[in-house]
Amino acid sequence: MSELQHGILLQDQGRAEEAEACFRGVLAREPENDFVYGRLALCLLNQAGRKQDALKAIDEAIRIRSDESFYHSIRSLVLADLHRGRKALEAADRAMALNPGDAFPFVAKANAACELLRWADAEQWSRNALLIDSDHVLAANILTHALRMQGKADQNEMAVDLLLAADPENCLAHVNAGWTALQRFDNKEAERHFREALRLDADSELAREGLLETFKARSWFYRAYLSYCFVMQRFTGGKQWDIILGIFLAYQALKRYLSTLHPIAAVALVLVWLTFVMWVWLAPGIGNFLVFLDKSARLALRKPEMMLGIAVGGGLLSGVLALVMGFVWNLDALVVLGAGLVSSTVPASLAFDNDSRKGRFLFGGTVGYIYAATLLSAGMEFFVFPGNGVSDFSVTLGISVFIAAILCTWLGNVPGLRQDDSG
Amino acid sequence: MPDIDSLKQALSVSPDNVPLLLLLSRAYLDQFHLDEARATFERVLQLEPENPVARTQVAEILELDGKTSEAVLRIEQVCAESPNHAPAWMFRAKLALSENDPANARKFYDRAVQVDFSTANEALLQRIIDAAKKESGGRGGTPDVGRSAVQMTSGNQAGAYRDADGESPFGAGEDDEMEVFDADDSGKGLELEFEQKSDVDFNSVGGMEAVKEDIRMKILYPMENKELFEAYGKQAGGGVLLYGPPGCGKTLISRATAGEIDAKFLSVGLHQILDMWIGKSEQKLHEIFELARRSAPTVLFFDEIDALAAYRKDMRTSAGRTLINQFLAELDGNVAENDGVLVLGATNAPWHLDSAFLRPGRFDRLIFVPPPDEPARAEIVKILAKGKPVSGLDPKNLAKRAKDFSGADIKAMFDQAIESSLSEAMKSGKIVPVTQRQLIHSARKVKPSTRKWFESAKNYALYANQSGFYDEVLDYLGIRK
Repeated sequence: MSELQHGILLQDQGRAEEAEACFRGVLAREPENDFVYGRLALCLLNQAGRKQDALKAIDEAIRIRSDESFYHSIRSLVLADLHRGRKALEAADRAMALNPGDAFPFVAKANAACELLRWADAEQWSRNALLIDSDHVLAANILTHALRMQGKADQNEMAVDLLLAADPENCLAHVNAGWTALQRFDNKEAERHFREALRLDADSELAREGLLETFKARSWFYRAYLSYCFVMQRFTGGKQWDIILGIFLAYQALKRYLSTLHPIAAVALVLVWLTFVMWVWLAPGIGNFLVFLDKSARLALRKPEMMLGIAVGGGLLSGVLALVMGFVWNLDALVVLGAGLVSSTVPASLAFDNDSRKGRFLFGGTVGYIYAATLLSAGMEFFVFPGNGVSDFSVTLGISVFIAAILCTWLGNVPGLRQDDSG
Repeated sequence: MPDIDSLKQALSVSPDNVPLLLLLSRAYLDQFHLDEARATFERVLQLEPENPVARTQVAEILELDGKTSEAVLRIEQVCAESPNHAPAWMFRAKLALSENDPANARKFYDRAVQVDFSTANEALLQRIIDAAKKESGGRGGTPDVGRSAVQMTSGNQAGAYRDADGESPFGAGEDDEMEVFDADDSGKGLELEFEQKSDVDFNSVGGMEAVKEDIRMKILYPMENKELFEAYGKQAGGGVLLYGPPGCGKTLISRATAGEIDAKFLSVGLHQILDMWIGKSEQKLHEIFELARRSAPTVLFFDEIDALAAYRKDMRTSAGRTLINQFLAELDGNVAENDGVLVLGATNAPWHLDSAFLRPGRFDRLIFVPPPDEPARAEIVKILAKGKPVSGLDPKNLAKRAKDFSGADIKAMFDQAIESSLSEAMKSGKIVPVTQRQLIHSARKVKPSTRKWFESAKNYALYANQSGFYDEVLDYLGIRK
């Protein structure tokens, strides 16, 4: 069997690394083989951290044969994965111009639209792809995804049913069905679909993440958070910012108004606001913590997710306990410890399970600073300033910790600090 | 061999159980209770008149009773009606020899060995040769055979047979129907690695006691007690799938298994089967199975079997599917019987196998081959250190530090340590031995390649383990569900 045949076989089986080795072997002998470069690009796209390499490979294929629509479509997929949505759209348009009767450029365009959160466009282009090729599984999956993200529940369910009827052994179809079920909070059905997706492809990260969400959604706390996410996801990134800013401005205005009526009302509003902010940031971590406490469900957690759960959920729980005990027993050291642990949960929620290396460094560093400052303050209160009220030293450190935590809630919205920057 | 009383007890519950009756007959024969043995064999023939085993044994009993002519008549009938029953031919050879007919004795002997190599009898062969020598010496000079007869001897040494004078003991006009079979040549023609006798057995493989015990229970004991298994309606032999991370000894342990059962070892790689021409791959696959059958007992080892037996839904082309169908047919024995052929498959990705391969009668026994355990790692260290300048070697210490390392990882560890000693040696111009410290340092730097495999395996063991195939992986990872 030729090395190329072997590589294609391995790629069909989803064994991207082994397939890559075969394709590179072929390219060593045939450096101008555009077909192999195309295959190699798809292989690299399916490997974590290899997207830039995938782009280089597909660019080589295009250099050798620039009039092949398929390569431009692949380029669009790669660019979308690199979060360069506009460039992905351009590449898909180029593919479409070269072969307007092919479904794949429409699929690539729909995929690019998903990256830009333009769900209506994604729906339109995936429908166009299906008009050309009604059996195109990827187009059908993108369609169901776009419908769900727009909140078109009925159409989404119909599309999912059709997809599963056409191919009940399609992992992605079950993932979509799982999310559809989760959106209507049918946990049992969602779990069934995600487990079936994993049975079909145990390496599917999408299916595993879906199953994890299902486990987390067992708690009302996390279900409320999911509801908020399902509402927000209907909007583009820009609109989401507008909404958050709008809520913040409304909060500020209401706080000013309430402070004129009664100071306690304003304080209450501040507490509500802080709880809301904390809840949005901490819910995923707390969800992971709850899953961690379940002996069998915790097997679905990856190590970074486990650490996130422990740092956020464990940190919040122990922080609140320390605060309560500190106030009850009048122990300043415990109060300081509790406040520090609670503050650390916000940057911790951004540190562990973060795709961005810069983000992990920044937020991880912030967590480290908060832990160090908290331990130092608590130690000082316990050994140096016991029973004299919280010292100025601890107050100063506490303010810096609080500011760091608040800053993280804003920096956490910067895409560059959350997205995969390894290429 | 079970004792007569226990067999009789079993028969009292299942009086028409032919395998049990055969076992009892042989037990009687072993103790020279000829009448009882004959009666039991006759009982078998009442139930299965065509049973060649019983018919051959009855002929043997007649010969022991001094009724040679009747024995000859009976055995001729058996050979005519059951030409693939090797013991019948072998007994016929003995009878021919006893009637001073070494030529026919040799003919029948070769036929027996051709059908089933395990019946080869060195002592009988020698007697036939001696008798032939005496006979040809009486006639003066040896006739020219015309062609060399390439034989498989009972010592498993293929080669042209000549007597002490370098002549063939046979006259001209050798029976054209008698094909002589050269497994080595057939293997070479197919470009296969074919070992007449495996040069390793379990004693040669350090550590891996759990895997060896698993193989004993699932492969060796059933093969050694074939009749017992058949008495329960179960077939010994068949297919066994070894799976585990790459570089952890699946091929070695397969070779050792062949050594344990004193079988030939036929190793088949993907590139030796797959052919770009339509139909050629299927033909090659069939030829490989035929070679294994002719050379039985054989261990037929398929490496990277996931490529051959891939999930058929993954197959884009129908050509791939027809090859898989051919493979399944060969495994099932639809094309020909697979008696004496043990099919071992090795794979790093058992989850990519079409489920049809894992059904009963095919690769229905799975053996997980984990990374080498500590004793095995220590052995690998000793082997890798041989012939190299190493000082202060402590294999046990290194083995402890190389947890989850595959054989390839341990080699990488050595390579790194040697690199650093080599660069010092080149500067100083003299041999600088590799020290234990360098090896320990190297062990810290090398990351076990098995971890990536276990990441995938864990997912499949957690989520795609409905049939329990991957329970051993869960046990190895210490995951309790």
